[in-house]
Amino acid sequence: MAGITEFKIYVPPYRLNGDMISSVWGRGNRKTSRPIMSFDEDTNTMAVEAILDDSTWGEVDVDALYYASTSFPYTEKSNASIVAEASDLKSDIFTAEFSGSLRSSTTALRSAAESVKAGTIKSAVVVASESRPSYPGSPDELSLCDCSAALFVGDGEKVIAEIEDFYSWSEDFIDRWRLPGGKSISSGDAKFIQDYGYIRQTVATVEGLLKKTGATPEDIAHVVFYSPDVRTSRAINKKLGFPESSFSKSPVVEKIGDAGTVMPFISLIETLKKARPGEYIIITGHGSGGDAILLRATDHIANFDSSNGLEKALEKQIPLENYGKILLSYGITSEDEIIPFTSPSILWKENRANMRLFAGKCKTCSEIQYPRQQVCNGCGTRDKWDEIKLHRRGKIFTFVHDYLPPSPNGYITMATADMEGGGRFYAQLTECNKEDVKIGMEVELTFRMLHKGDGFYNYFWKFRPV
Amino acid sequence: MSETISGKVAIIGVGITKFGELFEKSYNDLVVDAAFEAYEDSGLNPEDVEAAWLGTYLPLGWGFDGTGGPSLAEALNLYPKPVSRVSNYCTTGMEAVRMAAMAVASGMYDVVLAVGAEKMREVPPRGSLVAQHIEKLHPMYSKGRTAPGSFAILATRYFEEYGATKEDLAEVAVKNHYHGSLNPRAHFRKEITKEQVLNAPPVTEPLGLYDCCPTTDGAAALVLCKAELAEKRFNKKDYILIDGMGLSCATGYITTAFNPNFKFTGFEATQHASKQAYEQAGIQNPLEEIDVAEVHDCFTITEILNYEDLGFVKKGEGPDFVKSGSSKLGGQLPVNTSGGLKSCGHPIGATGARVLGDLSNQLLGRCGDRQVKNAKKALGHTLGGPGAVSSVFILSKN
Repeated sequence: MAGITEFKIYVPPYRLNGDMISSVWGRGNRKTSRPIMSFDEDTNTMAVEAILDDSTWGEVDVDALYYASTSFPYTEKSNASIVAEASDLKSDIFTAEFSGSLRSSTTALRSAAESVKAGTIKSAVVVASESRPSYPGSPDELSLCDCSAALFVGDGEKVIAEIEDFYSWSEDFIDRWRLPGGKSISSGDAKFIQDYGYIRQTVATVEGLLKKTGATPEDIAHVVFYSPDVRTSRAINKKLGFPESSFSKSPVVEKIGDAGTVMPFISLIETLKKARPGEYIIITGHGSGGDAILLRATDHIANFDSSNGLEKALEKQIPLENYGKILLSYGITSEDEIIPFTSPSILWKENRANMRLFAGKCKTCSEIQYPRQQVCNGCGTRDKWDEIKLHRRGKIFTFVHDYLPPSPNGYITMATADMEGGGRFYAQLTECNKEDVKIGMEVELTFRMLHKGDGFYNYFWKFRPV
Repeated sequence: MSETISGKVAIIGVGITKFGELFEKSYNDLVVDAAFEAYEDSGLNPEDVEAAWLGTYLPLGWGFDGTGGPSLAEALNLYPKPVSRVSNYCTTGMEAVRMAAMAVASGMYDVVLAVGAEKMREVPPRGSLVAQHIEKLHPMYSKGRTAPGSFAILATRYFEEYGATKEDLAEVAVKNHYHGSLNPRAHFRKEITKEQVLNAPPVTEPLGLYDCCPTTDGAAALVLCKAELAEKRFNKKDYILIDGMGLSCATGYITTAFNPNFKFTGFEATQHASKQAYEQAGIQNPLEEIDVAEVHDCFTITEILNYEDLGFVKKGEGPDFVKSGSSKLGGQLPVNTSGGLKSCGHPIGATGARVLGDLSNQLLGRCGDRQVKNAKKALGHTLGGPGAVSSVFILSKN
């Protein structure tokens, strides 16, 4: 039976702290803190972070990519193809994007599981990524969370939780919405949304699933509702009557904020980490109706290394030290714009090098060259290459802090690093203060939005400290 | 190498404009000023010039500032003679001279003109090179990269391996500013202190403002002829002979920073180019045999690495060479008595021609306060692309 085989969460390290929001805007909970992406990240780069780590680097073998977000960088043009390319997924892959509703992630998960069940694909990665906009000073500024999560769906022995059944329903409902280009999320009447949206619709969703499967609340060991806050979750459960033990004492929303489409995935991952073999799990997605998914933990879950959870994703935290840095994360910058040169045909020609990080290893002299030329710069042999993928990690050979190019930080650190397994890479260093950079420092490659030359997103790799 | 250039080509005329932020001068004005000074110095009539080469690295516009040979033909009325433009990063000016010298050595022409010119200050300093890296270079690999950054990244590695410091680099800046103070044509004519260098704002750490050459306008021109004609046709008792000239492209422009074999502590291009030039000129021990040198000090670290790559001293001994005063006027081998790129400025296409012009003047004893006594053999060096290509000339008095 189809089910979850692996998972990973990515939460950007930068934190927008309540005390700063309070000091700038005179309101907001001083004790709150929310994750916010860096100026060089977007939904697509975070989706790649959720898929790639040392163990999946160049090794993700799936038949399909299901990608959910309400905040895709491109409204028109594939976002999934960017994620697939950077994650180095095979090219004969089925890609699908799910957007609009906040339950597009659970819808994507259902679709992936159904295709695996139907046997039309053997495996899929389902990734949700979110960076919803909040107006500076708006109530959402402290409540939203930028992050991403990936669920790997497959069949057979690797499955740690089988996806047993689904229930979905649809009802048009105006609760929260955002028009194209909107800088913040609009809301209707809060009490109406609370009672008739989140609570009534989620209750109906779960009741529908229970009715369909013949299960009772007592059969379910873990239940997770999508809701923008803890209070709403409690109100939903009050109506449904699941045992207290099945209901998380510290829901994810309390830890990181409202992660939109990513929320059901993180909640599921956190639930899987504590689930025991045979236990039933319900997760829900909400938005103009709802999705409910029933899962059952398999025997394999007992031996599963579940270290890729939220705790690990929250290990690195960097508080943003001033509001200017926050504005940069929103994409608001006073930097003068020198329009970077780019060329779609160059990018297309160099996809395997620039997006998938393939270098050449000369069959004659074994020199590893990146970017690969036709003629080996080591021995002069033409076109006799083995393609090899650059390793994710390396050590800085030398570096410079350059104050001349426009940069939100005032300088750009450029580094050359010797990569594990051979080859050299030269790139910007991100998530690092210049005081901490040393020769020999271990770095890893991270996929970033490099610039917006010609008005489109130009993605490339940067280093960050390990 | 089948034949040497040695002894075949003479430099009989030198023209160098004032270097600086010459807002009142156009590109063509600079070219005319340099060329006519060289004409006058050589004693020829402009009609005597049979062919010409123009070195301009990066035309800021199209068709009016060094895009091709017609830019030079137009400024000097060289119609309908053969004129072409060469561009080879920061060796561009030297490359124009090298092309001209080879044409003479081939026997095709008796008298030729080489001009190097660059008008960088029609735009803000940042617009000339920094913006170019972003606006014109590779969509991915060049973003965040600048010319100073591409040299500073060697300083970081050199410091690590050889224990050198920013104080060592400052010695180069102080020396070259002192030399520049003696050169009426230099962009900067003020002496500076080590403290000023060390306290200057960072540009590309570990390099600060005074570790970098400025953005400058200027032009230089040389008249070259067959060696045997210098005296016979132009009545020159004293003239300059090209003893050797080498050029090497030893790494790529973009790929250098990705090259696993690149050491980041020196430039192979300089090593290869100097070897070629030394062989032609019969130089065995450059430190002993060369009396005066102009080397590419685009940044202070570069001059220190040049000492080593040119074989003046061993690897790692560059800092001591400047600290001991050996490369200062009056030292064992005065380097950059013009003030170098640091003080003269670095109008890219002009620099190589300016270097050879300055060295010619040293060998002819025309350098006044900064004259090196009894200078008989001179070395000129340029390095560009950052470090990918280098050109070296050995000159002597006839």
